[in-house]
Amino acid sequence: MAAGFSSIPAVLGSIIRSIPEALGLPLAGQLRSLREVVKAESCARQAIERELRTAYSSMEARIDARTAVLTRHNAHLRERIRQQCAFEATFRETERTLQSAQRLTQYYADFDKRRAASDLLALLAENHAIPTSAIYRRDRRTGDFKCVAVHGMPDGGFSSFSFPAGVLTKAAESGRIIRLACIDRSLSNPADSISADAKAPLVETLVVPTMYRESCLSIVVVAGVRRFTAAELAFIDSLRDQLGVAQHNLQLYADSKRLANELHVRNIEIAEKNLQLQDISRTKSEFVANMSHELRTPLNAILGFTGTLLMQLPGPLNADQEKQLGTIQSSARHLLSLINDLLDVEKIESGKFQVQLEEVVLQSLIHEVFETLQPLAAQKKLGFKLSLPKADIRVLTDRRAVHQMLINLLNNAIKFTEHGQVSLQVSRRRTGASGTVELLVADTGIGIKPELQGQLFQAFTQLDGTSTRNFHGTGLGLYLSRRLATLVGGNLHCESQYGKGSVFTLALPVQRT
Amino acid sequence: MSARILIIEDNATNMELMRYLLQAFGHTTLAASDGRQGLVAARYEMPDLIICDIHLPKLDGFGVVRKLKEDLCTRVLPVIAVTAHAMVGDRDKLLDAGFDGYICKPIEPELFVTQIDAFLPLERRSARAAGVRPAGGEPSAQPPDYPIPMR
Repeated sequence: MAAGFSSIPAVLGSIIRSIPEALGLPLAGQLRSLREVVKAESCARQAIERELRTAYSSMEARIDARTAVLTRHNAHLRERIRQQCAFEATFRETERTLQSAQRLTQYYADFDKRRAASDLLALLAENHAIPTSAIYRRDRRTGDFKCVAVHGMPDGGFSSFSFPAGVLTKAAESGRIIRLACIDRSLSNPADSISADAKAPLVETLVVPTMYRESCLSIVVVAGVRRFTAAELAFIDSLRDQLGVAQHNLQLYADSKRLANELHVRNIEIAEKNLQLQDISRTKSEFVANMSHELRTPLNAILGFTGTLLMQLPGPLNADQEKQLGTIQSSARHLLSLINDLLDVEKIESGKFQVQLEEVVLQSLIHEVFETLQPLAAQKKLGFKLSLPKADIRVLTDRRAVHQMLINLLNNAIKFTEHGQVSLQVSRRRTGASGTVELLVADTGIGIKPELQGQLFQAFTQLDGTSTRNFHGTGLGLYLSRRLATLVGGNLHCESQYGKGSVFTLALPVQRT
Repeated sequence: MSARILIIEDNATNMELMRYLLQAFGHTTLAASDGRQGLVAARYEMPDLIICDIHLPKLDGFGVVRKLKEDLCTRVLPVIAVTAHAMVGDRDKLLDAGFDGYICKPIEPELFVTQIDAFLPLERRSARAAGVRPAGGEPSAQPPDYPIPMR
């Protein structure tokens, strides 16, 4: 093995040399091809590395892009969450406000001023972080303020805030909210130790006038332990609007309640008065009925025996006796007619007059009246003219009422006419289903002054003092006639020219509806 | 011929007036001043006609006419109400109650006897027409006023 230990490189060289032999290749060619192999391999490696780099960079680009997308997405989510939170906050705030408003309305629906005020302040403390507050009501007449409720003050010994002079009045007059900073100093002594619950000192006070139509109804003073935020200010501003309306309503309610009470009292008084009046009216009715009965009894004797004397039953009369007895008789008859008028008025006014409908032929009724009054007209040398249609006019009415109205109207016409004539004209008017009949009583008498025509149909009225002396009567005739006309469904009115005469028109329905 | 007429009336003056008028025209009158007397007189005397006031002591006009019309003997007698009650509807009330006629106070002297005569049979009506002057003086031999002595 000495040859074997000659030298390692020689050995190695020989090995290397022998390799191609062993491989069956020529050595030089073997080396060359080896180099080419290595070279090719490194080329391949470089290509792979290039590709790898390319792949890496493209991957990075994609990752970047992806990251950017994610970032954007996150930002969007964060925004959504923020919005959601804000929305929820607003929602809660709105809910609280709504709740306040609701409770407010409820308080005011109770219409208990004191309770409403203190409940409102409690609500402000509970829902709106306004620990300390007070309400001052303004007297509508004097303009003075009076504390009606406080909240968040230590119990006892405290009646109200004390302010720099004139702050309340200033707020009331300007209608604006006044912000007072460092309020704890402007508060009265007990207010310094303010807020049993919120021990912190008060930082800001708002003097909030509640207005309705430019006039201040009350002032709410709220104090907080920090400065009020814009949202809180907005809330307070809307609150005071609401309060203004609510207080105004409350005021209206109080006023109407007071009026209702007064009205109630008045109603009771009126009811009492009515009872008294009814009593008086009944007494009057009884009195009139009794009086007329009592007056008719002696008249019965006067008229009766005057009658027997005039009939000359006891013996013959001389001319003077007959004339004087005639005067007694006509006066007694007149007195009787006055009593009858009074009785009729009483009957109508107490509702005892019952209309009795029957078919009346107007012509025959009118002739009857004419017969009665013709002598009176003849006595005064007056013309008395009837103007009637030839065909019978049948009217469904109360015979007695129409008779009395005609007697009254014609009697008046004769009474107030000195020269000329009295006439009665009847004509039909076709109005409505069955039409009406008009009876015109015209005279050429003294007439009625326009300014007195309004009093014509009033009870116990004779148109002027002087006529009472010249003309007899109670002044009931026309009043009665108009009432009777209404009762039978017709009407009575008058046209007159002073000094020339009057026309009274009585309209009667042919059929009573 | 003339009639015997019973007048039931509590007012003396009215009584006198009606008696005077009826007698002046030849009738004979009987007088009663309350409802019960009137009823007794009607039963005993059986007059030709009865004039009856409504407001009467003891028994009012309605009571008198009811009793008279219940009794078979007296129901044939005509009963005329003479009253100051001139209320609407009174006429029907009176006729429903059994009165045969109705004259309103104050009476009219010229018509009164004629009105009464209308309820009498022809042969009992007054001998003289209204307005004829009587012979003068009180008619004699009038029966006594009631209460009449019981036999």
